[in-house]
Amino acid sequence: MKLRSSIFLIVCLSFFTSCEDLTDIAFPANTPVLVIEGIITDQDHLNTVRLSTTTDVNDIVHSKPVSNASVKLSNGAGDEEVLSHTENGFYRIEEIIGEIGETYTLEVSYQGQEYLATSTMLPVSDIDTITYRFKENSLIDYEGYYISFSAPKSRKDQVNYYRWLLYKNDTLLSGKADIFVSTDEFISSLKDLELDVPFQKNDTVTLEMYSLDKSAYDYYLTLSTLITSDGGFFSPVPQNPTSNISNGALGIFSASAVSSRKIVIE
Amino acid sequence: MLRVTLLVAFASMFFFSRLMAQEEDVLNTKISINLQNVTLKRALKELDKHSGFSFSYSESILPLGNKLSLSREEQSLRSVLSTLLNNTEIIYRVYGNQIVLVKAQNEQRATANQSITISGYISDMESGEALLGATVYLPEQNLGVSANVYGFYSLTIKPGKYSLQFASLGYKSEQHHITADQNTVLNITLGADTYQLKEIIVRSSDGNVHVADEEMSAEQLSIEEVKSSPALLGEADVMRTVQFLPGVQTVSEGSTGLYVRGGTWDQTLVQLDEAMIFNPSHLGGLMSIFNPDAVKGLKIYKGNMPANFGGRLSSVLDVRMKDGNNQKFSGSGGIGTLASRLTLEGPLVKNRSSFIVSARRSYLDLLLQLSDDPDVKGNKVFFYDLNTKLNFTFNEKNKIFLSGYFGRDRLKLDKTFGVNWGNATGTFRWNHVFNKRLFLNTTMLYSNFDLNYLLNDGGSNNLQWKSKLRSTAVKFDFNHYLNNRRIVDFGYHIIYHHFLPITVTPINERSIIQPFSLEQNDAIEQALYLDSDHTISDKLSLTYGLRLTRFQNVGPGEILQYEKDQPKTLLNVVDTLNYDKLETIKAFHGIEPRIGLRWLWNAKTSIKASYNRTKQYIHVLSSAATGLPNDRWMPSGPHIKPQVSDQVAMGYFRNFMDNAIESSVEAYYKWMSNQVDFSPETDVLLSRYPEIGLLSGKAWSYGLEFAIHKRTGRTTGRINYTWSKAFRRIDGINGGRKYHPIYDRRHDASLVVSHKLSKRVSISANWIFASGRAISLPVGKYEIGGEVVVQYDPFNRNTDRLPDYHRLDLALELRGKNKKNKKWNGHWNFSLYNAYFRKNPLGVRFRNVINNDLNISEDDPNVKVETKEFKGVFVSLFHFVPSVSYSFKF
Repeated sequence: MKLRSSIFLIVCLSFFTSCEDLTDIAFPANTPVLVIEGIITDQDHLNTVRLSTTTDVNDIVHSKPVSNASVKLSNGAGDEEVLSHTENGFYRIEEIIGEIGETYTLEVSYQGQEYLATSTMLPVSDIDTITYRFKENSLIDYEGYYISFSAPKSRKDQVNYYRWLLYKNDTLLSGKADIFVSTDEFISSLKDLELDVPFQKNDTVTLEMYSLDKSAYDYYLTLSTLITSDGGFFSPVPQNPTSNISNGALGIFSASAVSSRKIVIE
Repeated sequence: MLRVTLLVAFASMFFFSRLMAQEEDVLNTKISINLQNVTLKRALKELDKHSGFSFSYSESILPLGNKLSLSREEQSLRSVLSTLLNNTEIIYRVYGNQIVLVKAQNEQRATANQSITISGYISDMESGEALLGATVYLPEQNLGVSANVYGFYSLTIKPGKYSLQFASLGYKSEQHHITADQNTVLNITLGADTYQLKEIIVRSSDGNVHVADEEMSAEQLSIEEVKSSPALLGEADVMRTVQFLPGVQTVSEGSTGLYVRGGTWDQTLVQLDEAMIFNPSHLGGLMSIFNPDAVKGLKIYKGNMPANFGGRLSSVLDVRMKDGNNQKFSGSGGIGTLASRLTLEGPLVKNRSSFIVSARRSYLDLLLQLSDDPDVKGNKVFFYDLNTKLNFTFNEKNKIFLSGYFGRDRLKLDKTFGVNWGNATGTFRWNHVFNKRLFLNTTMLYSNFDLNYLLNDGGSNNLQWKSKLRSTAVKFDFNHYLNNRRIVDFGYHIIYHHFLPITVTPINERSIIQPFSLEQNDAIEQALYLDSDHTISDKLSLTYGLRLTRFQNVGPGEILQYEKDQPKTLLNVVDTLNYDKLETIKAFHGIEPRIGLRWLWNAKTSIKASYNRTKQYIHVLSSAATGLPNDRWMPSGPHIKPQVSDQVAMGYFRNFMDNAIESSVEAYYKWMSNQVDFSPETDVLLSRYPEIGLLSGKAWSYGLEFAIHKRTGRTTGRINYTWSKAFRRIDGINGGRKYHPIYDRRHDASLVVSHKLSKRVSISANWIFASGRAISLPVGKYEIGGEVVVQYDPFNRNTDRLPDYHRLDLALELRGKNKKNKKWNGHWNFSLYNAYFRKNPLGVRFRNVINNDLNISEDDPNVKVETKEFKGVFVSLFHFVPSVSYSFKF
């Protein structure tokens, strides 16, 4: 999102000031808290749960994997699966297959505490078209090729929630200032929606579109608010995203249907 | 020694006999005068000059137009006067060596037991501007009254001889010796304090009003004080100056919001010529909308508000526009670093009617046009203001005013992003004096705020957003000066708040945005009030008042009914009610009492105490603590209760050095209920039913405020210090535990000094110190989806502090030579904002720092990433901002 930093830049330049400095503030010591990031989809390769704990703000390591928790997934039909740790805090979902309309429950037991989350898998529409266009360097955009796509609403006459992920040459793009989540409450269709990430020639771009239920949407929306927060000056006081996991764990458990499209920029 | 005593005795005898001079002696005085074809006024002036007696009269009683001629040698004054006043309704009386002319019909001699009233307007000698907050003081009686905001005063006293002292901040005070034996209209003009060094030593003082007045928790600022302060970017700013006052907090730089005694910015009522201003900021809060050239003065109430103010919880900032010079045509203006301004004013009919037009525009965008970079060139960022006012004095009893403000901000980036917002207000006022003791101000008001927002990514994501708020009001405000011990103010206000639908529309047919409109309810606010200012004894005086309010939330609109005792979610909706236009959805009533007392210990010292309840019926829906132009306002209704505040305050007031230095200590405790906040996932801006996600709770605050104010002499200034604490407790935030809001600061001090080096050179400095505001620091971090996210303690909101805020501002003012016949009068102002390069953080934000360079954006695809570290970053504004402005008058 170049726009935001551009506005900031104009203000800074205008008033002959530099605007940012590294903090010398001493951050409070961390008491580790469990972080759960669980996802079950209707595709077989995307179903994992990652467990970790928080670290000090100035730690070189951003999170510490948890390998010794007991993790259990169940669905409405009464199927249960105990997930086993593979590596680096990842627990792989092997047996339970994601189905649209089904509600899933994740139970984590770690250091004598129980954590519970549920999520319902809503349908997602197919991506009809995917294209790109070139934009020159400007105050608002970096030079590059920008992907846009079209898709119908996932469910007509109902409000749907979406999340999009972009892969560049099979690598997930992360560390971006923006998380792409949206509701279609105020739009007629997902038509020619452009994603604000520049790509270069010969990049292979994969776009994945996830359905979210309301609580997962709330999570990603508040996560995006937090990540783009100015620290509580114009924006609200920063706080942890609204999680659907009980007992104070951080993170999200989301059941999502996924559709995807690939394009090579030529 | 003996000689001295004798001399004194002789001198007193001389004066004594002079005072006792009989009326007869005066009238028998022989004078010579030669007048050819002059007005009576001119004739009286000549007489004043040649006779050795002084003549007092109100100009309004003199007949206009009639010219007369008179030539007398060695005639008695009696004979001259009777010739002059022949065929007029004017009669005269003699008091000592003073001759007072009055209209014959006013001649009703008061008996010794009756009270008589002296009333009139106090105005500026040069411009005819009514002087708001001017004072009349009777030193012998230790009695003083303040003129109302229209410069009208009324003083009821026992018949006798008095010396009346008229004063106003920044003006030379005037003494009038009168023998009061009948109701008298005494219109006074005061001359501005010039920069003559000799006179500065004996600058005006309005006596001990600071101590003797019942008023507390209030502060009056002259526009001169605002202008003499060092200015950011050369723009003197009303609200920045107000922020120096004790009890007024700011969130930080770049914000003109006022957080008064633990209240939020939207709990301050900002009025321009009585019209409510919804968002008084330019450039997103960098500047306030008040053009200093168009402002006459301002007053802030931090508590103990007079009952004629209402509708907001914490404070009132009452800004008054100039009326326009009714004596001569004049202009003023300035060229600054950020903006330029021009004001023209003058009489339409001298003494009776005048106009003022004042315009200001910033020109940052014009600088951008000079840039070679096409990226920069196509952008627009500017604001402008236009203030206009007309006034007509029909006669002694009727004056009308018409004023308007129109201002706008525009920001346009490329073709992609545009936003503009602005206020428009209109005020019609009619001042009517029923009689010497009853004054009525009738006001009709209009205030509009609108925001337009445009987004176009060149593809299907384009939209236009429009929102608008509008208030129209009629107010009747009476001042009744019952006697010298009691003033009663009463009145009735009715306001119609019109919250226009928020509309979002696509810009072109490619857009995927569905046009929609968010209907909002309207509201009718009524108030009936009575305020009494009652002097019980020489020592004790009381003010007490009551404001009765009725607030109706009215249609059109759709209101959801939720299941009882269940959380408000769409799943719990049991019914939907539709209301027609003006149909009452819900009505509230409020009783807002107030009481204040003042105990005058001695002429220099007093103790004051007050209690005040206020209610606020319209709310800003926001979970952020700073105001933005896109804030959504909403009336109280079925799902939002009115906010209520109670405040008690006590103060100790003491003047020093013959009233040249005023000081006070005030302590307050304030508690507020039904404070509004939102759960984090609520999209307040677009929510059709904002009550879903609405959180409410309590707030309370207390503090101690110390103020020292030196108003006269070559060096003037203020020293302020505030110690305060503010808390909130909202269900659903911080686990329902109390926490500090972000504008909470423990210590807040300011030093504002101005010193006149010579007639033409003055220097001023501000030093501000504020201990760090409350913030939430992260207690850790973690990863989600490859993003590093900071972790907060959900039960310890805002328990940390930013580093202390402090800065020094300096200004040097050079005035042109002030020659008698020179019309043009210019002066230079050199300001330095944040003189010692202090980087005062606004807040801490967290981001990935690429290659150890803060200037690299992590989104930039052209940068080769070598290192990527997640770091906390301080954001700060304005390190050392010099500016120059040139101001002129002609």
